[in-house]
Amino acid sequence: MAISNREPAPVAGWTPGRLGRVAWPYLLLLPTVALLFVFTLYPLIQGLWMSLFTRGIVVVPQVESTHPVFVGFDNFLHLLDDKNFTTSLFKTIGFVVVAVPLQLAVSLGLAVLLAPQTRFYAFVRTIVFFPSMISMLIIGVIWAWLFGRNSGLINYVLSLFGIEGVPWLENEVLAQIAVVIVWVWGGAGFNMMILVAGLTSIPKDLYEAAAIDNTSKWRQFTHITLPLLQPSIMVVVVLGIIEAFKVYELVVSLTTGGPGRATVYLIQNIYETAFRTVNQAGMAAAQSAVLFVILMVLTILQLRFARKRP
Amino acid sequence: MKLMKVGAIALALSTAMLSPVFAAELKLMWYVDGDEQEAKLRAILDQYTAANPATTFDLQIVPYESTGTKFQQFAASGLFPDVTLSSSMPPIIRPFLVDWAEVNGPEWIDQFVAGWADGAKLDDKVIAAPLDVTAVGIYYNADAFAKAGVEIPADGWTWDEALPKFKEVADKAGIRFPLVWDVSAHRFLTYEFQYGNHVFSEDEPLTVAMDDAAWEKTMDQFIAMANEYMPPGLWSGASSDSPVDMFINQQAVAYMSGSWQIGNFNDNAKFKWVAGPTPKGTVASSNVGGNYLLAFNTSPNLQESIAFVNWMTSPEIQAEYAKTFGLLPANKNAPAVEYATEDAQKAVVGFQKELDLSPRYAATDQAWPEMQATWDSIKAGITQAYAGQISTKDAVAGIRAAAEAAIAAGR
Repeated sequence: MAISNREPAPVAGWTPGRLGRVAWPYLLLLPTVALLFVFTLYPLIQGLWMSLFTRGIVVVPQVESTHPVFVGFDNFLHLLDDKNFTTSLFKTIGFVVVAVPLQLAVSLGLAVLLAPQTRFYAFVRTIVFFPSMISMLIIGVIWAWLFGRNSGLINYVLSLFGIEGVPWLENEVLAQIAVVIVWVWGGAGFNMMILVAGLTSIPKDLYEAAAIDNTSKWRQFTHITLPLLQPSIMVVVVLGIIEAFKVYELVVSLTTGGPGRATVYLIQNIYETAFRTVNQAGMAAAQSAVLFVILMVLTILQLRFARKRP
Repeated sequence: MKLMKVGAIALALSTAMLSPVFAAELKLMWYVDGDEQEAKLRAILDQYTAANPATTFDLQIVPYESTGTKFQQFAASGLFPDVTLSSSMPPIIRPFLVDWAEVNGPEWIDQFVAGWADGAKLDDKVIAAPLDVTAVGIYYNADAFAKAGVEIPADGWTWDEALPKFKEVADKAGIRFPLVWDVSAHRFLTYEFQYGNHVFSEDEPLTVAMDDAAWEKTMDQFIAMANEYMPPGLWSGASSDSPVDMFINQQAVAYMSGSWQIGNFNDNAKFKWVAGPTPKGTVASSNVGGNYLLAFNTSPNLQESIAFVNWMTSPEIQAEYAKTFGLLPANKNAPAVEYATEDAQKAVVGFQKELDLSPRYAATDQAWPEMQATWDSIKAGITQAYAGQISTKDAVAGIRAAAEAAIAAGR
């Protein structure tokens, strides 16, 4: 065995200058990390911790009934028997499955239609973008007025043609369709802007080459536009799924979860469990944890799927 | 000269520093309907400040629906306003409420209307000061009745007698709907009261006093009535139709709501309206409600808060407050209120009479603190049953379960 006669290199001393150079990036990161911890990680951990207790949303030392009682994973087990939770979860999944692709299709259609960079198209894009600047709560109120069965504008217009009032919000199926339509309307403008940005970054010469080869517009769309728009589409889909799972303000102002509980989605159910029932905040936290896991898994899967594609 | 200057500055500084100690700005949390009511409330507060210059107010107006959430925030932070308006006292704030039996003596509460005063009691404490009382009842479009040639019987009628008449008036007067009804658990419960049903026992020990079969039957009747006489879909829980707007815009012959609408109709109705008599079921019943003033023992201005609440609940000021807002005073010793118009006066007298005729449970049901955890199940039950998502049997079972859970949760 050869033994080196060389002396080991002396360990450089931690001089103030070197320490500063090493520590500087971490110091710069510290405010962001601190904010992330305080406003994201801590509430997340606190929420998970809450899910292990039976407790009220507020713990008041003087009020014994609000004191937390450790129940382990009982809250998660009870979720399986909680009809309101399972129904709202499946309704939410149904909403995501229908609303997100529809919103993507509408946004993509609008983006392709309004992509040309002229003043006229910029003006129309701005108008289409307007609803995205309005709170979903307000959008819900506006559409509730429009959809009103006995005093809504849409039914009034229909009545001028002798058509009887349609129960847009009072019929179970129509109410769910109404929520999807309004959600798509409210978010399509924002997604359109993301897709327009993606479209403008596609090199023009690809379309010119395709045109020279007499490639149809449809083939250009499916073989050039769609593949090169994948990153933007992925952003729209991921954001859409997260937003759709969290749909709440819109529903509260549009249907208040009705008719009956037909449009009570997961977030509303979590809210009602936490704030409108006695000492069920732990159950609500367990529901939130389930939602967190679903969103986390979906996001990871989508990002992996996006990376694998050429 | 220099010494005098220093002395003057020191005096000015000490005055400036000491003055806040003697002056109190009370933080008030209140809910009102619109700017006009807020202005009226501020005028009453200014009246108090004029009489007590050391006390001023920081008035925070919040939506009525958010008061529950606000109380949770206060309890979580330990930071309460000095005085709040509220229609209930949830368990999480009860340890922080001033005990009026201790402050004013145990008999003090007896000067208030019995049913509403009972709701302020918690064991041997009095945790709230009754401010005003409301009654649930019906309003009629008197012009439409006159046009249709249908008389409103002064000595009352039953729902079975009244509903066909509402329809007749709607047909003859060209009004869209015979009846509209506030979509609320509180207003629906009144209908159950009118058929002898209630949620809780009237006395301790508190139990659930529901006769499930009778509740189901009444709920079925209500749904049939809603389907035949009210705007389609109104009770689905998703309708954007506003019953009060429909009545005020003369799209409904009759409107089931409560005494708190008197001021609104007095100011805004462009037709002749009358309040009551409310149709009855097997019994005549209204539903006692109202508001309390709550003072918090955490207040740094506790003495000023107590003085203000005592002033607000004194007979004279209650009469003035009731007149200003078209309400019924909670204080039985309040002088006779002369309301703004003859219609308002008649309406108030009519509602007062309906409260007097109501069975005891019309006051006690709402007065039990456990009712606060039961309202949502009533609304969910009736709207889901109306929408056909659950049977009335399941709806009643849900209400019973919520009421039993509320009792089990304790106070």
